[in-house]
Amino acid sequence: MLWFNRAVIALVLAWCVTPYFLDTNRSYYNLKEFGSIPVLHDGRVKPIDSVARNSLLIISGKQRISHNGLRYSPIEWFFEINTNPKLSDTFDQFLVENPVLFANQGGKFDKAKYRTNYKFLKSQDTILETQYKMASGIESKARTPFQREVVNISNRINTYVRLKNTIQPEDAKEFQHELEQYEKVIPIGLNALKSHSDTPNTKSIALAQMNQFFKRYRALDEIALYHPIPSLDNEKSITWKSTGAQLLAKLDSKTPTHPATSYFIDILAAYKQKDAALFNNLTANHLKFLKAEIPKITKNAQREANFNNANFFYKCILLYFIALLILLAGWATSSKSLQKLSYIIAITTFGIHTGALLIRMLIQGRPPVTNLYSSAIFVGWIAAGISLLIERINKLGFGTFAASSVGALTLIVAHHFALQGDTIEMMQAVLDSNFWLATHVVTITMGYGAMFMAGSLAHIYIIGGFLFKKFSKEHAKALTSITYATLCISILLSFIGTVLGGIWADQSWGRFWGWDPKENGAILIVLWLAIVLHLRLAGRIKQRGLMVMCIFGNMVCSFSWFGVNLLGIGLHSYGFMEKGFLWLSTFWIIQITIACIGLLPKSLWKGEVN
Amino acid sequence: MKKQIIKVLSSLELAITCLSVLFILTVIGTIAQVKLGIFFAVERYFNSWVITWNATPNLALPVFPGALTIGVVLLINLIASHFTRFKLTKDKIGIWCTHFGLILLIIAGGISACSRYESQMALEEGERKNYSENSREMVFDIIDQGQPNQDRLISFPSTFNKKGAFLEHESLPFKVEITDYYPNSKLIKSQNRRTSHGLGEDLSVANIPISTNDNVPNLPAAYITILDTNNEILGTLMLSAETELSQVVPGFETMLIALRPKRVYFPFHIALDDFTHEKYPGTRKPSYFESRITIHNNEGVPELEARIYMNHPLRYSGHTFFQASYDKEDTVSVLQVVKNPSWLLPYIACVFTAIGLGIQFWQGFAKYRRKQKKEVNPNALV
Repeated sequence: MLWFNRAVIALVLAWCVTPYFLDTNRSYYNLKEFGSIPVLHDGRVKPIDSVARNSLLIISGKQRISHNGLRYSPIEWFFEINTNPKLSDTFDQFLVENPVLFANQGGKFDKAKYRTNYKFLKSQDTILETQYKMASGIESKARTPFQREVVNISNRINTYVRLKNTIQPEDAKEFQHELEQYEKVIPIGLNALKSHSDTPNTKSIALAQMNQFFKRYRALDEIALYHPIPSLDNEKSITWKSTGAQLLAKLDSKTPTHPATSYFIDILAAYKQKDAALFNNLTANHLKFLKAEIPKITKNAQREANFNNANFFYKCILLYFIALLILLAGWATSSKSLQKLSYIIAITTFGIHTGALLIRMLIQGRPPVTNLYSSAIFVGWIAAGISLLIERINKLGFGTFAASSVGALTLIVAHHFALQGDTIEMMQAVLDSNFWLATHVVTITMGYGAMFMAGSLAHIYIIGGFLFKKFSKEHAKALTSITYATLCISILLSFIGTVLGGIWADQSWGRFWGWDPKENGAILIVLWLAIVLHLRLAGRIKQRGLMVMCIFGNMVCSFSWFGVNLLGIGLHSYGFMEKGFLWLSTFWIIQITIACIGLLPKSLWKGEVN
Repeated sequence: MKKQIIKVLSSLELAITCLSVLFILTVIGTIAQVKLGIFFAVERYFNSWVITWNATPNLALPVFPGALTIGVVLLINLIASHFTRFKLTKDKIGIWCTHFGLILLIIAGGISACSRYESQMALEEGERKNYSENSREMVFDIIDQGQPNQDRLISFPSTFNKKGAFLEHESLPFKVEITDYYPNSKLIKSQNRRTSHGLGEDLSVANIPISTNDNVPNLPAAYITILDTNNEILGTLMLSAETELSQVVPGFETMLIALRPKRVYFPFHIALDDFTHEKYPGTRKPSYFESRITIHNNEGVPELEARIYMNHPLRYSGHTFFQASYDKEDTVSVLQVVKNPSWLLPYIACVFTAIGLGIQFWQGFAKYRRKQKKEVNPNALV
């Protein structure tokens, strides 16, 4: 069986890692290479692939878009809206999540969730604008769901319009031709400005022409969603400029034209003319130029584009699930080899999870946890890590179960956070401290991970013990001791994490403790663990009691992880989510149900529990 | 009987009860912050001995212990357990250390709750100040400008902020009656004059609901009557925290009175030399704040230059100054000033507890491994 297991590992690795290195777009155009070109967007230099992905996510809440049976990847969609805006205006891509907004239109418009196109939204311009003016004056917390949706949809429209007008105005038919005209007008206009000899009439015509271009490119500069051109005047700090700003700079005859100004325009033109060879050539040249000028930044952008393309975390969800299913099959059939296989898949997945986490840290240049998204990934990672370590010591499959279930669920949570836009966002000024992010945030998140792991083990105990005769005394005993050990790890990490948080607060806000919601969340976990451990010490709870307490621990932990962010108050509330509440309640209801099963009298249990 | 009491006080059950009650209190107190804001919720649930419920407007019933009560009970429980149950032996040293650290932590929390004082200092670039203000605590200040060297300040604590209170002091030749007090107010245009002197010719005070928003302070106002020592009325005034204006006391040219944030005076001056506010390129998201300040002594001689920026406060003469906010297109820097004499104690306490937990965890793990080896090895041979 050894060869089979090895083959499985090789297959899984190949499936996950190949897209990192190879272009998986089936296209004559070198789209992956183009996607790795660095640009400045939202305060961060990132590959244009990330700009396209995040914009598509913000607009449609999806990672792919289809129209007339054609599926567009983010970068294909990017080219579509930049070279063929008339077509892309008819894509049903704008997510609307409120049935009231356009209910008077009938049809799909009174559904709770649907997607519509830009052409339609444009026709609703006046209504949206008045509603937006009203909603944007109100603090985001105080807005009604309707107003929130008005703001959301306006942001989506804004992103879309800016994206398609960043490189060139969307109404430009032949932008390259227009630029040639511009080049001709500049010297005439500038001369007209200086000289007094021209007849007033020709002078004013030349100036009017120049002024027209000036206005047009200033508007282009202002609307730009991202800045594609690195300005290298100063070697230490690179300022990124928009195409509009670069074109305006031509009016100042002293500044030499930046060599990269026209690359994007030419690349778009090549795409529009369906000239793949020219497209690939121009892309390669531009990258070569960037690699020579700003090697580190270009390399990092390339890394991020590869990382996007590989989609590691999404694949980890599937793999953890597969491991879980195989493990359950192994338990059902008492097959040791299936259990072993599940362990091998889980550990390979954990390896990929680890690698992806490291690459992400490298891209961002920060410790692993910087926002809710990355905390979800890290919680899963730490829970899977400890669980698999336990599986090595105690080969009953419990560790694999905890690893794959917590791993998969937390990555699903992360996946949903990712739907809100860029996950490598810039830090708020107060959080900008790698030292504290690496100590306080990491330990406290490890505490969450251990707590969820204990909760997951409690699920095996309660469901397994309640439903299956096979569940023996030995199983119960082994599970209890693992769970207890996990709780001890958790209280250690949670306490140290909370204290480090207090020290950080003292260092930056002058007080150790301020009963801020996030601080309360942290202390709730410590208190809960202290209660559980003391109850056990006093003999007030035994095996089943401990397990039920662990299930409640899941609820406490999810409250301090997300719940306090949902409250949206205080210095710590940097990740406010609106839909999260529904998911959190669902999770809690499930946990309460399981806890109730755990509280049923022993006579109703099929397994041998204590 | 005595033994019985000690047994109860040192019992695990009491500890569990305290922890559970504190747990519930924390949950309630956190959720209450949505409506009350952090400041008021902390005052009501965590800086209190008992939480009351107003059954009727005049009857407040105690319904739940506040965090201070729980802290004291837990402290007694911990100390009692220390004398009776925790032994400083090799096996128990982890437990001993953990709980000893907790005793220190609760004491530190208690001291901090009693002695910590927070205030803010808004400084314009180039400005120099020797006081900070606490907009959470509005007080009546009487300023005596008739002294030879320095103005004299008589400040009446916020307990006087109510209708019918008298502001009296042996050194004052008059007393002040609070004829009306509004905890939160707004100045409005009005022709009905209620005052004899100062403000109020075309303005009056309107009562508005108390603000629980942590970023919007309450602005109280009051109508006051000045009486001389024979209880003769000298005049009436309107004071408002919205203007913070100090007005001349009728009959006493050198005396001023104001309703304004409580001031904390320092034996030194702070001057804001420069304030920097940087943003991430192409966004409005702040990436960095910094205040460059100089501390001058009372003779005006510069003593210290310092930078205050995110995560790097200035600790000086028992006060911590940290960058809290900014205003007026980045020319005003707002520093939060915290006086917290017990700031070192939590550090010491936490070191004890963390080491204790570490030892306990390690010993437990070693024991588990030993047991595991004994159980697993025979099977491994089969």
